[in-house]
Amino acid sequence: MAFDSLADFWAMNGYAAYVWPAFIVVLGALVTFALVSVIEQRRLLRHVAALERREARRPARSTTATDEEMS
Amino acid sequence: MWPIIHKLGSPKWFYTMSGRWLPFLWGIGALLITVGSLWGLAFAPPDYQQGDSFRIIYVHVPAAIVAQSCFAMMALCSLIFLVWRIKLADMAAGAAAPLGAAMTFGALFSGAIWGVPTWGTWWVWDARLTSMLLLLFIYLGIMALRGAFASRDGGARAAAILTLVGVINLPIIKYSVVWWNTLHQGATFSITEKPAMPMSMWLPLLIMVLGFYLLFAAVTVARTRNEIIRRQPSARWVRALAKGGRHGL
Repeated sequence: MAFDSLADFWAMNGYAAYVWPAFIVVLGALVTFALVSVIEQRRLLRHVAALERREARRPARSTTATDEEMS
Repeated sequence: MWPIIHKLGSPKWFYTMSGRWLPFLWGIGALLITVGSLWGLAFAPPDYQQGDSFRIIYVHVPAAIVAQSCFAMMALCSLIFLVWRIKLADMAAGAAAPLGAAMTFGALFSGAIWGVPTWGTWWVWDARLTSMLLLLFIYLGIMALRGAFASRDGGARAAAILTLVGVINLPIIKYSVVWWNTLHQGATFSITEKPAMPMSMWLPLLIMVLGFYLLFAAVTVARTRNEIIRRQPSARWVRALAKGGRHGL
């Protein structure tokens, strides 16, 4: 450990205002991208499952019309 | 060679195969970044000149490296898309761009913060900084261009062409600290030379760089998979996937 106490660690010997924002912004961006991509996958698959149920009720309708048109 | 390319270009094959790798990419990437952050922040010794402000290096350098590697990967995908018309390559290029832009911004932001205590200024129009700012604008341009076309294929082709033009900026960024007199220091890691830092400083940095690469790969693969579902929600295998509830990570 390069610091004597936890308080020293947070203070970064006076560089807290530089070190912490840099870490929060860069790591925050990575974590946000990771979480959003996982949440988005779940949302998309729920959407596809809902499409499947809707088309099961109305079998006469063509399924290809909805393809390529989802966002 | 050709059967492999066609297999790799198949969205279904990619989705299935990447589903097996993805949990490891997430897991090992998160582990490396956690270890590297704690090591770099708390255990690496302070710099003899910069004190504890040097710890910014542990996010600044990995963000900058990934920002440039991401662009190289997008350029390769764009070339594959333009030459062989493999749509999966276009999906991957489109999936990677936002994180590449975010990492470019992260490198610029952490560098600006770092500049205040070390250089006495947050910005100079120096070759390295300016070429990185240009990279950010190229990223934003590619993303905007992709969305600016009525047809998806038109947007994809335009984005691919702009990516291939923008690749000229990569060697400029890399050699900017050699070709011009700059305030920015030279490369931290080099294949041919020993690092200028002691191991207790560069080892956590290496761990961070690897962790950033793995998480970048995980996010790009995950976003490519999402794009596959978005483009073909009526494909039978996608329907089976949604029904089965086995979403994978």
